[in-house]
Amino acid sequence: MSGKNEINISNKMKRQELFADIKDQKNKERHTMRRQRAKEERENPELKEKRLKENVTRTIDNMRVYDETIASNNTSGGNADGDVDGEADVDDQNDLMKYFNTSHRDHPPKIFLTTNVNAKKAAYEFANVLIEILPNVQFVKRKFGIKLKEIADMCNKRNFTDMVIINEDKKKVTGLTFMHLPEGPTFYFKISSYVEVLKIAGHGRPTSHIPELVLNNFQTKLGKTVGQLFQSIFPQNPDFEGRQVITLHNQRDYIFFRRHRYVFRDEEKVGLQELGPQFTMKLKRLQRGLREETEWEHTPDMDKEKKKFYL
Amino acid sequence: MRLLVSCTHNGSLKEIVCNQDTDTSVQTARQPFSVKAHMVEDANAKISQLLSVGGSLVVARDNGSVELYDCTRVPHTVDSDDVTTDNITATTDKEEAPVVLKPMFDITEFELLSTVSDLLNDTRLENASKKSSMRTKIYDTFVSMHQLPNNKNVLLLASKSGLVHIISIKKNTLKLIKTHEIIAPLDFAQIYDNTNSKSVVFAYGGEENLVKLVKLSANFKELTKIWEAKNVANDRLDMRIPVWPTALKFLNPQDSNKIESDKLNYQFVVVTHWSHLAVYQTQHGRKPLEYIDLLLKRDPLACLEMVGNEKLMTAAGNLKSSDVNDFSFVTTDLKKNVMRFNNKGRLITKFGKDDIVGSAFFVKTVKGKYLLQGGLDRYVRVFDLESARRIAKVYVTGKCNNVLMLDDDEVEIPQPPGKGKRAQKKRHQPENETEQDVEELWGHLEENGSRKKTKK
Repeated sequence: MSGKNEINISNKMKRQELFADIKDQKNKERHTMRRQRAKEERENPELKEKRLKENVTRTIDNMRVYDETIASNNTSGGNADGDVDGEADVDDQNDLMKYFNTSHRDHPPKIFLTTNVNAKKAAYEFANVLIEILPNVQFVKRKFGIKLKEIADMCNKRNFTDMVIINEDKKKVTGLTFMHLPEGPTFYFKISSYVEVLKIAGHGRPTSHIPELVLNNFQTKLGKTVGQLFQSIFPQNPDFEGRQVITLHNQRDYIFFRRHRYVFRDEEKVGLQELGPQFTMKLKRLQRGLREETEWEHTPDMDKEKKKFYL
Repeated sequence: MRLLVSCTHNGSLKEIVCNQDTDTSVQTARQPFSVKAHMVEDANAKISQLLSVGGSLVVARDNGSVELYDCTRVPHTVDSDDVTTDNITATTDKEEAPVVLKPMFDITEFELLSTVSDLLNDTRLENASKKSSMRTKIYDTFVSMHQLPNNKNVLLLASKSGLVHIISIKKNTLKLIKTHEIIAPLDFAQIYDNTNSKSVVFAYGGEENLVKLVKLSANFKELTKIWEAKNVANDRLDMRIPVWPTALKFLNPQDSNKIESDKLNYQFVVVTHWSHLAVYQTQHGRKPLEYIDLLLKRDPLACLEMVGNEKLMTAAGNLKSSDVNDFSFVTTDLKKNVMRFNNKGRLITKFGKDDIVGSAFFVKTVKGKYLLQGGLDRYVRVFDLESARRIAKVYVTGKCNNVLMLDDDEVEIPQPPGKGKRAQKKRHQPENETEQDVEELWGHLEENGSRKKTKK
């Protein structure tokens, strides 16, 4: 209401009335414009396509800082020799194949789950949740005085492929460590925004079918390594009749965990029922071997630049 | 400059040709002219040691083979799609079709001449692997490869499992002369090449394996231990200090008058996995002269490179100075730091602060001028050793565990014709300026100044 045609009305009620009128008028204009546009676009769908193509909202996700590790399908990388791009794909496979036994038919994942030493109730409750989510998992109560190397040895002898450690601090679950056996690498994630199943309105009950896995938006080399971790944890032959999906959606380096059941109502409509739980993970550290040399570590000054993402 | 980088993920060797200020992480910055992979094998055959011998290259792989390659330079052929960002598109004044000027440079082609294989033995490490504080199994690898100081055609290779191989290069073929066994595990084997002698002395050590000096006879038949270090005294809680030297570099022998001739005369510097700096003088005794904590949290240290100008460095990276009170060195930890300390353990600079994100597996000083760094974050960086300024940063798609700088020549970038002349014209400098002119200028300036004052 500021500007040149400012009207000085001292009565507050009158002023508000006038303001409401103007606002209402504007709303009506907008609605008619939209109605008209929708009508035009219904007749001519190309217009809609064109509009959506032109009016792209600028978000910090799509303004992200250039990262050359994403560039495998981007030929403008400038890296001279033509063989570089083709090679990058092979690189990806070689590098990750070494760490993760992706030939799941021979070695289905077998997961060892434990907590930190002297864990409290929250950790065991979270372990119960994870037992339901992770396939072929065995929970063992953590005992004091056994070193990580000894645990890893025991796991290797029993053909475990992965080790998951829940980290609890001050009666809250704060982190998750994933270690691939026997050679690593080790991932440490911070856990936040945990919502238990009962708190989710309209939640369903999960079945014991092997879920399908959706990995969203893991783009960089580091992101792909993280994606590969989850791929290696879940068997790659899901039971489709269970219609269960686990989604790991990466957005701005936060990984959102969700679990749903879907149903195809007819040829167009799909129904989703959330099974829960919900939680958010953030990669804090990636180490070679079992917690040896650091490959990547999140530091507070990485948060300075808002448009730089690492996954 | 021309770099050879060994990538661990596929056992390849990448040749990078780039100029100063190359940075692949910034799209608008200067990009490398060429990044080309050679000798691709698989991850089990990654290259752990690189050595340039004359015009050829010796490569030691983790599958236990040592290979000799012939290097020939061929001019880089320009493909039509090959776009380097440094190309300059110049348009002449008459607005003809743009002329694309490409920088001219050579690339190297490698031809395998000879191979010696089965030089590593994993079974020798099984015991050490069980006792080790490393949580994963230790695999055998080559920890060092040196040319003998008195015979450049003979190589000394040491493996983590304590095998010392003597290999000769004759008429473009490699031949294994002799293999000796020493106590495993090894983290380094550093050859002494500060002074000339017929026999060869080298030092080795590793996890729970104190530093030892051994002498190799002139005919390579005998290997005798001539000196062994002693662990430092227990700490104030009477706990044993763990032993794990990770890297060693020699200094020149002591040259004072007090030298006892019946004792050996060597000086060397060691960094340990428990973040100590140890200075040893064999004249002083078997315990270190100094044992300094470098990092407060006992973060493990991995590499050691001495800092000095080109004349002060030997081929094996030893320092040609006998003063233990005046040296500085570069070391790395297992997180992301590459640090330069002085002999008192005081931090002088950090290289690549806020830039390096993964552990630096490899650092090496070149010509007393550059520091090459490569590691788990898949970048190869070149730093200026004195100022710690980053000179080049190139993404190599895989983790890198060895870098070799072949030369530091800049590739000439062709300038479009005429541009240079115009630039000269713009920069007008009065050449024949006389004192009179200067006085005139001063007078003019003063006049201006006084006018402003009067206005006020």
